[in-house]
Amino acid sequence: MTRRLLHLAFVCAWTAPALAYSHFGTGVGTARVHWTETPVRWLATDRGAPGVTSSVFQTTLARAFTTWQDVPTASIEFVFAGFTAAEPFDEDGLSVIGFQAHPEMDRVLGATTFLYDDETGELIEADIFFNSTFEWSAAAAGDPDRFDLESVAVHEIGHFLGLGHSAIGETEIRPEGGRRVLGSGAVMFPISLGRGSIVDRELQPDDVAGVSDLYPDGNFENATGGVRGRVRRGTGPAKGAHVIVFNPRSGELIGGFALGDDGGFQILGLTPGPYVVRVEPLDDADIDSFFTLDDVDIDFLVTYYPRLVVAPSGGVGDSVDVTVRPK
Amino acid sequence: MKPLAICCVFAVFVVSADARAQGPPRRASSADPHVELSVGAGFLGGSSLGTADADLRGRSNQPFQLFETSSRIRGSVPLEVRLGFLLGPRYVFEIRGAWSRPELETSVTGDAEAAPPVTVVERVDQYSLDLGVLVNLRRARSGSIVPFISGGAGYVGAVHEGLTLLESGIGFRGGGGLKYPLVMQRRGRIKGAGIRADAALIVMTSGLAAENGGTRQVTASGSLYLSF
Amino acid sequence: MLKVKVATALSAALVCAAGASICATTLVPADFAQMARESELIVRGTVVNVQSQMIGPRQTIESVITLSVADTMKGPAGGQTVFRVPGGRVGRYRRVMLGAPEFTTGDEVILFLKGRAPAIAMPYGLSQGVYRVARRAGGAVVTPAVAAAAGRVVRGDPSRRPLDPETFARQVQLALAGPSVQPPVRRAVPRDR
Repeated sequence: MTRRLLHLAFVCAWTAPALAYSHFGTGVGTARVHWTETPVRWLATDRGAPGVTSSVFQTTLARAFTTWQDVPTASIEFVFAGFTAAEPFDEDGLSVIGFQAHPEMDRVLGATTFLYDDETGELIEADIFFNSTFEWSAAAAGDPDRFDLESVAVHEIGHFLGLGHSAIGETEIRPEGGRRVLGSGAVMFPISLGRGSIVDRELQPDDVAGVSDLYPDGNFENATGGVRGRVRRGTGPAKGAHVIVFNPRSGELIGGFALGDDGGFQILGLTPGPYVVRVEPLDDADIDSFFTLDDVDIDFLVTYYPRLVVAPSGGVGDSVDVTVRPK
Repeated sequence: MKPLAICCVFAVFVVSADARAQGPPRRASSADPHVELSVGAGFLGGSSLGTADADLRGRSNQPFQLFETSSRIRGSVPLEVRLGFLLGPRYVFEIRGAWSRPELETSVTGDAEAAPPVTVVERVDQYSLDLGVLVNLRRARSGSIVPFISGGAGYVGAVHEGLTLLESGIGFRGGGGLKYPLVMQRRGRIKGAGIRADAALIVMTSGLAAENGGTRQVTASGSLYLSF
Repeated sequence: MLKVKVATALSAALVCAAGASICATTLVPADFAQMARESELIVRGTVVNVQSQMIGPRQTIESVITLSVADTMKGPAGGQTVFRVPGGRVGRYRRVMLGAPEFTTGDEVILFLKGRAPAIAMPYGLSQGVYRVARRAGGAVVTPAVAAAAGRVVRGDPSRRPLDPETFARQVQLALAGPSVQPPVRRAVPRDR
């Protein structure tokens, strides 16, 4: 069988380690990955799951791709290249999206993977699987007893684009067991809102900033700005701190992580103006779902920077030092 | 556009009313002053810039409040310079410039993780340059003190800390005041000097202004003026 | 052996160095007690070997990790245990599953493992069952912190601090012995600074 190659091109953007792992830059080593050739081709496994035919599966995915494609400040295009008998995770050079049964991953609704040539750095394929161990729905209004396929698809396609997880979200542990999300500030928050919820079909400002930063359209870079700084606890860095910036005028809430060895962070794609800066520890989180970092500091209290920090137009403001209060 | 319309209607009313109240205009002479320069300082009141909640999205789209904010621009002391072109004894065409350094503050409360309330601030440089008209209400004078009304519109800009961002908008000004001449002479380059007090309402419709209805600030100032 | 032609003259190089995972899954997480109950094996140890391989009829890449066990908190005690995670490198090809934890020789970890023989166990919830032990001047700490009590999980909660491995082990025993979710505990008063 002739294997059709998927011509994928990822640009290796070398940046200083402190800046390489913003929440909207999936990083491998110190490289940030994104598609450089568009439209990006994807295939769908010609097999559905209970409640979702393969045809409905494809149309739902197409809507999810369109959600990202329609971001006005980003320039990315996708094209459906057809159905295939190939499966996600087959090492076949095809970017395939499909259902697979993974009962051993009974806490994972879906996942995205990349296969690349470790010697040349060339990306060969990117795949997404949806775990058919769960019950899925593609109903327009959702199904209270099933997970919404389109919502999870929008999330996984965000990873397919090169976005990492956002940590903007609040959870609770239920008395009857299990953990549920009370609210999230991004579709790219790693925990599902639960059966029946369809709100994650729509992107939030954090998602839009992320995809626009990866695939800027037109005047995006000149029209937006960034804030940067370091998070410190005492005399040392508070590595792995979660930084959220809020624009009181526009209501935008956008996050990033202090991943630099010095606790450095940088958040881009912001509407120019003054921002409230809030820092919190990831002491409630499965940190491995966000990044892998040595010496993550979670031993401090939520702290606000005492001054408004300005994101200029077309640039990044002066660095600020946020000193957090220890627990 | 509403504040501009109000200012225009107000100006037309006052000018026409004043014209009806006066007798035939006195012919101007070369001994009369033509230009007036004033420099002064005063107080520019603060103003609310509105409230905003930092909300997360719940499973049914209901908001989950992470924290809430309330922003305002604090009062400040502006420096003002005016250049007036006297169009007779009654009307003055004015160019007004002002500069002040108010603080922009945002109060953060209601943090979902019980962080204590905090007020975060930033100092901005606020500039304005407007064109307007001043009408001396000579019929209402009391001795040498002449009341007046004035209005104008123009540019308002704010430069954020570190010269990182300039925000600009349109400001409308309406108010009045009193003039008291200290010296008047018909010879020499300086024809007169005096003091004036102004009070006005300034409405900004963009830039730092709040989203709905603009930002309103009250200003009062005292100046020394020279007539040429 | 991968039978994949690599396209030429199309893409800029993506040089991928080890050392940072790319994390991307959608999760339905369990609480700590649930995870403890549903895991077959809970151990603390040090990674001594990471072996990637192609498996199954479709030759998917996964990694098999050997752990030298220092402490067993649940399940059969043993000197070593083996578990697997999706992804890894075979030959020149590397597969990365976003959200799957990555391990290198020398990593000290606490693992909640699920899966019975003949299957090779996997970390619970892919990455949820992975806790990392960092050795610092003041002692060893386990991250992430344990959120066990019912109710809002408040970030920055002063009462939730990184635990040393021994205290973490006691938390595991508490979770195994107690009700499904512990009742809310009174939060510690923030210390004056």
